[in-house]
Amino acid sequence: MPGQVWQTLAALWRRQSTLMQVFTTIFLSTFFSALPYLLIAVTTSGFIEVFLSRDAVRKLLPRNPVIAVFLVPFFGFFLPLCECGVIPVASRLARKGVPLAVAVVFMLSNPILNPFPFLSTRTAFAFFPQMVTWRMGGAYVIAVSIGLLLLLIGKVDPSLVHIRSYRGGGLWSVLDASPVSRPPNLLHRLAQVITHASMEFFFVGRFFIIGSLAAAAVQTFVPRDILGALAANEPMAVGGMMSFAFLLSVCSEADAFVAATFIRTFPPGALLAFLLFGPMVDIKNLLMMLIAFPKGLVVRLVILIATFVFSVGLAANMWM
Amino acid sequence: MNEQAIGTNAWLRCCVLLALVFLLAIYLAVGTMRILLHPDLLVWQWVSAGVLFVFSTVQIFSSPLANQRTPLWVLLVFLVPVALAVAAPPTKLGADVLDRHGYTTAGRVDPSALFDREVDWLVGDTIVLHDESFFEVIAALQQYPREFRGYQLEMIGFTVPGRGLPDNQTVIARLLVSCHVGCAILAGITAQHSELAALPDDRWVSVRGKLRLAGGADREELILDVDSYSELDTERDPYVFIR
Repeated sequence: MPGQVWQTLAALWRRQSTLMQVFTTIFLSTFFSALPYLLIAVTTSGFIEVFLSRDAVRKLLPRNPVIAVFLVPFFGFFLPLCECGVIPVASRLARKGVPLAVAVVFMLSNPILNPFPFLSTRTAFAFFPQMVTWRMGGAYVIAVSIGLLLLLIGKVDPSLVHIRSYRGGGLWSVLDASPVSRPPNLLHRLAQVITHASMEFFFVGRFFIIGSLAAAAVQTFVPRDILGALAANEPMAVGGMMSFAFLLSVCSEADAFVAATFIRTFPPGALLAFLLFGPMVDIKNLLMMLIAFPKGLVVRLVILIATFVFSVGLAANMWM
Repeated sequence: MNEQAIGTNAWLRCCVLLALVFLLAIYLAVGTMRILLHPDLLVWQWVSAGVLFVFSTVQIFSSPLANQRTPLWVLLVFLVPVALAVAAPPTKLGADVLDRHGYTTAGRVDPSALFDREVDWLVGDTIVLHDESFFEVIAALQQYPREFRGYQLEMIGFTVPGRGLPDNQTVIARLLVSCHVGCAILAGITAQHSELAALPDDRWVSVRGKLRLAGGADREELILDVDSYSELDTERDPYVFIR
């Protein structure tokens, strides 16, 4: 009898340790694959902070914010970033005087409207080529609509969409309170870039790691079969796949391959919702957004994104 | 905060970053990174290691920004990847991916590209699945089942039994990876053979058989009627990397 108990315990331990190894594998693969993007993002952010004055940043974009909102989604094809890496850059742009609406459009559109998700979606949905158009078009429409809405809100109550009103503490408040002095020596300025980038890495990286841990836990311990019950009802299917995208937190380069595995289970609108919502809001980037932007704005943004993606998903079910 | 505490904090940040650099360097040197990431991403990990090394050295130089104190819990969070790597080292994934990401039923294939390719995947009337053409051929079998019925097929893969299949069927699969293994999905072919279907998850086999058309008009698929199979002693690389 004690032998049997021991064997059962040993088997349980073996199973748990195997699961832990799977958990580590998924976590580390997510962490390492996004790490270069994150480092590029914080370094870019450092360059913007040290080398570009507020006036210079403003000159890079059209003076009219409405035109900028329509143009910014195309930047992803020149500066492709992942859904985590884009946040420090968008936040830095906003702090450098870019209208918040324009920075938000950049943040929402960049992870989808760039060459890598385009190619992976085209490959994974070859049986269903219109998915590429719907995904790219949907991301553009949603990002621009939210940008225009934020511009409108800003006209009514500027304090709601003004990043300077944020007193979040930590590094951001230090950076905002003490603008960088500009030494003439290039080497000194490069050293400032590195210092900025490294401190920002510690600031945003903590939430990226916590988010990746949560996503790996969901992937390891929550079977996807629980989604099957949602497939029968179209609105529930769309909502279910949005929730799944949030929890799974798969990067936007590879999510099309995961979505394609549901092609016979879920309606196309639900798959589209998965492909649109995940890169805009998932566990990892939500945590990062919460430290980069005012909490109230993030809450409103998530509600807006969810509403738009849900609507586009339902519309796609009718027309796809 | 006194100067000594700030200095200690800067040194701790430096050590945490060096620990990450060390983990990256070890994984790249011993090949562990190859069971985590697409080979195309490996060069970027060297870049990451270099950038983190530069970041680590910057911490210990005096600077107004570096004088900010990073809370201890944040430093511990950055050590989590290292701690997990030591406590539960990464492993090759297998059949359990089906429960997380499912089984691919879609894929793009350009028939002309498939037939133009130099890789010898078709020998007479026998399809031989190589890593180099695995994704394209599997996609072609799913896309054009009628055209491939009656062909012989040879492949090496691991078993994925059960999960709604009849008792005498199993799936012989590999894992497709386009970015990192956290996004891997299963791809393979359903094989029919009573003894083969009795094998548990993740058993490596070499199979040979004939492709048969099955299923209704709305969902036709190819089943491999296995003529012969052999279990392989050594574990193979489960991943097929696609671009």
